[in-house]
Amino acid sequence: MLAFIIANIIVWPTIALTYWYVFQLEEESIMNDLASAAGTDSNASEDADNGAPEIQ
Amino acid sequence: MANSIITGTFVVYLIGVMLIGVFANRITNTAEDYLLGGRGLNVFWATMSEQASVWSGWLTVGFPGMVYSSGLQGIWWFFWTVPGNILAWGTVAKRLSRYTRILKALTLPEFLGRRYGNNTKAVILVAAAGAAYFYFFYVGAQILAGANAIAGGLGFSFNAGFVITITIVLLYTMIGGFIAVSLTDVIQGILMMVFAIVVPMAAISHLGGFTATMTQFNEVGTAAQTSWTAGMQGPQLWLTIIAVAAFGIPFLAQPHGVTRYMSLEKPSQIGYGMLVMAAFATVALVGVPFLGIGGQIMYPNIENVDLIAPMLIQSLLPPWAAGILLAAIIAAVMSTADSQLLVVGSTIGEDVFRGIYNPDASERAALWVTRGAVAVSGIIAAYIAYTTPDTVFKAVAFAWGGLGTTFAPALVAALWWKRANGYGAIASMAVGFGGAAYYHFATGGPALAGKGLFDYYFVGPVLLAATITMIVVSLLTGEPKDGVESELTEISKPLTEEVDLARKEAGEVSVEGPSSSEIIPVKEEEVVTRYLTNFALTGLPTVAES
Repeated sequence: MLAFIIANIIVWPTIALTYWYVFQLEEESIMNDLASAAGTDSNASEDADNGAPEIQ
Repeated sequence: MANSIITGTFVVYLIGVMLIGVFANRITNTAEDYLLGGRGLNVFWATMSEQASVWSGWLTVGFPGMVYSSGLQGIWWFFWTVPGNILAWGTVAKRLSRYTRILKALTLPEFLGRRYGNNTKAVILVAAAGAAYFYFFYVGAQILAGANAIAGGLGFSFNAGFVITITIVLLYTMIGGFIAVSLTDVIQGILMMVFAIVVPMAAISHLGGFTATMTQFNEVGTAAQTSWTAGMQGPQLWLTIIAVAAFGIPFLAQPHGVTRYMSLEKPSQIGYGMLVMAAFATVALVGVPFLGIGGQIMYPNIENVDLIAPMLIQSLLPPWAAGILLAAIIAAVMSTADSQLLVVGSTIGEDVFRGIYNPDASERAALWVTRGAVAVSGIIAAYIAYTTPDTVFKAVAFAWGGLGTTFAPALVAALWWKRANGYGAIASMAVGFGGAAYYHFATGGPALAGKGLFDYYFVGPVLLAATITMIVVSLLTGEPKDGVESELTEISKPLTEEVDLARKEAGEVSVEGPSSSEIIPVKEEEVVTRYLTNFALTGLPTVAES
């Protein structure tokens, strides 16, 4: 029973951490790329106007 | 005196939960609020909510009772649900969360109907029938668990416990909907973790420590109870391992569990949910078996094995703690029963009433049909539970497995296989539904140690048949609806709304655009000055040149 307990305490958190390390970090990297790409697009459109602020 | 304190604590907790239901009712305006909490749950909240609703009364009542009667071999049933849960988080959660946003689906049948577009109504009807059927048994099992907790822990009769449980669950679900359910699920999930730590430790301490507990268990238990394999060898052992391991697979498609994935605010944070889930499941898996083991030593001859956890709580803990933890059991029951009633209600209100019968129905009309369906479903479940009493574990094992065999192949294929079509989904769900019902009643329920090939738990063979059906029928009946390939590509990376939300939170950009108060008026002269200063002067001809 003790071996069962120790094995479970090691195995499941390790699998979850591995998933987190491999896929979550990759996901966040993709998210950052998309977010900065969207930011760049936004800046590009501003540049097209020569940066002049709109007259209100 | 002790009983009064237990009952008092118990009642205060339940009143608190009811007040949360009333509060949630005030902020529930649309069907999306009622069914998915407006898709605004953070990942911790959604994970605890999923765990509380999925583990349910069978973790707090059914599982201790099963280990009490079966011994160490019974632990394997629970063991295999952990990799099943990991598989569900890893393969279904993120994609389903995104796909249901794209298709604007609020329920699992609605999602399947829209994903398998060419046969929407038929898919929804088969899915709705399967969900409703198995949930009648599942909710019935929860009511049995609640009734046993009240009878064993508070000293009421079983009938009184039965009536109290169904009344609390129905009132609570009808009043609050998903927001109430998920609000209290977090509290209930935490209480379930406390239960899985405190009660086993109290039992081990009472029996003289870990080694003394196991020594006494080996003395009082039968040979089958003290063996991890129940004395099986060869093919029988391997068939049994496969049969029991299959118990984890239905995690992929429990409609009341996957609903939590759909409610996630940020599907891209699934990895964090995996960590919370693994912590919860590990604590539960390591702790709860000791209730069955300790119970076997302290109360060796109980006829109704589902009473063992409430009895241990009452005898081992101080009254105030016993009241809170008995409330935790009822909490576990409520968190599953209300989620399941919500799934059945939404299937009837949203999928059948608004999706098929009256597409022009208002949100409000659909909401009331959903609430009515919740009430009727609860009464049917109570009737089934009362007239065909079973152990909580057996009743859950049937409904759990049936939902898995009905939905898992169609759901996983919908998320990962572009070739999957509506005919395949309908045929697969029909095989999973009919196969589970027939196999279960033909064999008399799940048995750990089967005598013949068909005495084993039905999930393995029925799931295999349903999966083969899904593949073969899809391949034989033409292409899926248009646009599936691009939808599957879209859900493989963060959606635009996720990216916008991330940028908004980082303060990088205001997605809705600046408010009027943020716009600073600029004079025309200033614009001209800035323009000439920054950009135009270098390009202008100088006086000398001209």
